[in-house]
Amino acid sequence: MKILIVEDELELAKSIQQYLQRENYLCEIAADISQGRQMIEDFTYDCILLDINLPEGNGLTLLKELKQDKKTDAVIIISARDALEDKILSLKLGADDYLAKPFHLAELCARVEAVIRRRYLQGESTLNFEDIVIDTLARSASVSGQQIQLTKTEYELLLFLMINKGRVITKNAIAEHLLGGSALYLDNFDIIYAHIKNLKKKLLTMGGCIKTIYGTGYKFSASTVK
Amino acid sequence: MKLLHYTSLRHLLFASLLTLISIPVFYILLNNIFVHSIDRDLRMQAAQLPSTLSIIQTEADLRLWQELDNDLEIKPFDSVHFIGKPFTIEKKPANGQEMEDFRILQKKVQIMGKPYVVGIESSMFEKEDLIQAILIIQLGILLLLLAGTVVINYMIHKRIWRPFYKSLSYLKAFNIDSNSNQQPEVLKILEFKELSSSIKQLSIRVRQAYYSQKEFIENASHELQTPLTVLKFKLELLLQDRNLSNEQGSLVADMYREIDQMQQLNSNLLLLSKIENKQFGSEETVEVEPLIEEVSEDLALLAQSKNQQLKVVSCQVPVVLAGTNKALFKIMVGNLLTNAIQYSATGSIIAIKLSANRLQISNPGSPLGVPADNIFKRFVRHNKQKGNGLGLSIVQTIASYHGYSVSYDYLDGRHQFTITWAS
Repeated sequence: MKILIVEDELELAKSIQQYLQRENYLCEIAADISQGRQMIEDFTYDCILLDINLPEGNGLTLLKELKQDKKTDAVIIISARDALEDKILSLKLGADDYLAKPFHLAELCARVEAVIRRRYLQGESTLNFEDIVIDTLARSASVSGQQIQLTKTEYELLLFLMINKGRVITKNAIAEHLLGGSALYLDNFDIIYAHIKNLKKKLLTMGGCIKTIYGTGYKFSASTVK
Repeated sequence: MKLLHYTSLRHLLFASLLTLISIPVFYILLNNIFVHSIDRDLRMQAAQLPSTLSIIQTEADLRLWQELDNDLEIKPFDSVHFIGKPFTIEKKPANGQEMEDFRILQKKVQIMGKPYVVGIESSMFEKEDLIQAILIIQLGILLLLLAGTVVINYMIHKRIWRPFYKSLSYLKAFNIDSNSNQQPEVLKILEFKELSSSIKQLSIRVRQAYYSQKEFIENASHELQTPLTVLKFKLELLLQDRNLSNEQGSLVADMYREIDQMQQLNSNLLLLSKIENKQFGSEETVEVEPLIEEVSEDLALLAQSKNQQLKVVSCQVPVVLAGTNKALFKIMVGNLLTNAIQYSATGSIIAIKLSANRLQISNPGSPLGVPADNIFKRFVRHNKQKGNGLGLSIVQTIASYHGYSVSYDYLDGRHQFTITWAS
C-alpha cells in the first residue's frame, strides 16, 4: 500500500509516516502543492492524506484536480481549521474522509485502513488476525469460526484495536474513538476498562491478544508472543 | 433628573421669584410716584389759594364759598389740628357710598384778616385703579415672559441637545462586535461636534483593541495547534517503543493526556473566536428533535460511564428552526448535555425537555458554589471538574449568535438551563 502525505509541517508528516510505515505500507511526503501534484502525476497512491492549509494555497485544489483527472486515489482531508464548512466541502468534492486536527495517530490509522478497505477490498470485507475474523460489512466478528455477539461499542473497540495491531493504543485514543469529543469529560477510564474486560471475555481463547500496558493503554498483538 | 427638568426648574424658580419680588416693589414705587404727583398738584393749587381767596370779603362770601366748593374746606385756624405736609385720610366722598382715600393739603390763609386753615383734597380713587391696571399688565407680562422662557427653553433644549441624545443612544446601542450603528453627523455646535468625534475616535480605538485582542487569541490558538499536534504525535510514537519501562510509559501517557487537554482547550478557544468573528454561516434549517437524538446518541457512552440516563421529553409537533447553523447548534446542545452529565451524580436522570419555543436541560445536583451569573464566563469551573471551563461560554456565544437567550435556574434541587428562541 502506498500512501502520500501532503503536509507542510514536516515534523507532523514525519510522525505520521513513522506511525503508518509498516511491512506493507509505504509512506511518502510532499511538502507543498506543486510537489504533491508532481508525485500524484508520477505515481499512483492507495491513499492520499491531504492537508488543507498549505503555504501556496488550499489543498482542496489538489483534490479538485485529482477528481478532474479521474484518478482513483483515495483521499483523506486533514485540516487544522476544524471548520465545519471545510468538512462538508471536502466530502462534496469527493474526499473519502475528513479528519480535523487535533487527532490521534491511532485514529488516523483506523481511518486510512477503513478508506482503503472500502475502496479496494470490496469483495473482501473481512479482517483477519489469527483466529479472529471481523466482517466489516456485517459488522460482526467470529473466533475460530464461532460467531460472537458483540455490542456496537465492543465491535468498534475490537476493530480499532485490530487495525492498530502491534501498537500501543492510549486509553485517550480509545476513549476519543468511542466517545468523540466528549471523551475529555470522562472522570476516569473505567468505562474503557469495563468494555475491554467484556470484550476479552467474549473473545474466549483469543482474549489474550488484548494486552494491558501498565499506565498507558492497550495493545493488540499475537496471543502467543509475550 | 433629566437635563431638561433641571434647567426648566431653575428658570421657573427664578421667574417666580422675580414675579413675587417685583409686584410689591412695583406697587410701592408706583404708589410713591402717584402720591408725589398728587402732592405737587395740591401744592400748586395751594400756591394759588391766596389770590383765589382774596375775593372773599365778607362772612356771607365765606359761607357761600363753603357751600359751593366742596374741594376746599375752610375752617378757622384754631378749630383744626394743623399738619404742614400733605396727608392721606379715608372718608366717604360726598356722592359715594364706599370709603375712599383722599390726599389732603392744609394751608394757612388770612381771610378778612383772620387766620383760616384751608384743606385742599384730591381723591386717590383713580390712583388705585391705575395701580391695579398697571400691576395686572405687569403680572401678565411676567407670566408671559415666564411661559415664553419655559417654552423657548424647552424647544431650544430639544434642538440643541438632539445631537447629545443621538450620541447617547449611539453609546447605549454600542456593540463592540458590530459596526452597524453609525454615529450621526453633528454640524452646528462645536462642543457636540467634539463630543461626537471623540466618541467616534473612542469607539474606533476600543474596537481596534478588541479586534486585535481577538485576533491575538485566534492566532495564538492557531499557532499553538501544530506544535501541540507534533508533540502529541511524538509521544504517541514514543509509546510504541518496546524498551519503554512501565514507569516511563506511564509518564509518557500522563503527558499525552495533558496535551490532549491542552489541544481541546485550544480548539475551544479557536471555536469561540470563530463564532465571535462570525465565521460561520447560519442559513440552515434545523429540525431540533432528531438533532437532539443525535447528540444524545453521541453522548450515550459518557452518560453510561456514570450510569446516567438521558431522558428526552419532546413536544408533539416538530420544532423547526430556520437560519441556524446545524453544527453550532449541535455543539450548543452537546455542551449543555455534557455539562449536565458532569455535574450530576452517578445514576442521575438528565431531562431534556423540548417545546415549541424552548429547550430545557436539567439535572439534579446541589446548589452552585459560584454566583449564577458567573457560570457562563470563561474558565469558571465548579469543584475543579474535568474540562476547560469553556463549554457554557461556548453555549452562550452560540445562543446569542443565533439570537436565542439562555438562562440558568436552580429549581427543586435541579440545575436547569433554558434556551429560548422566538417560535
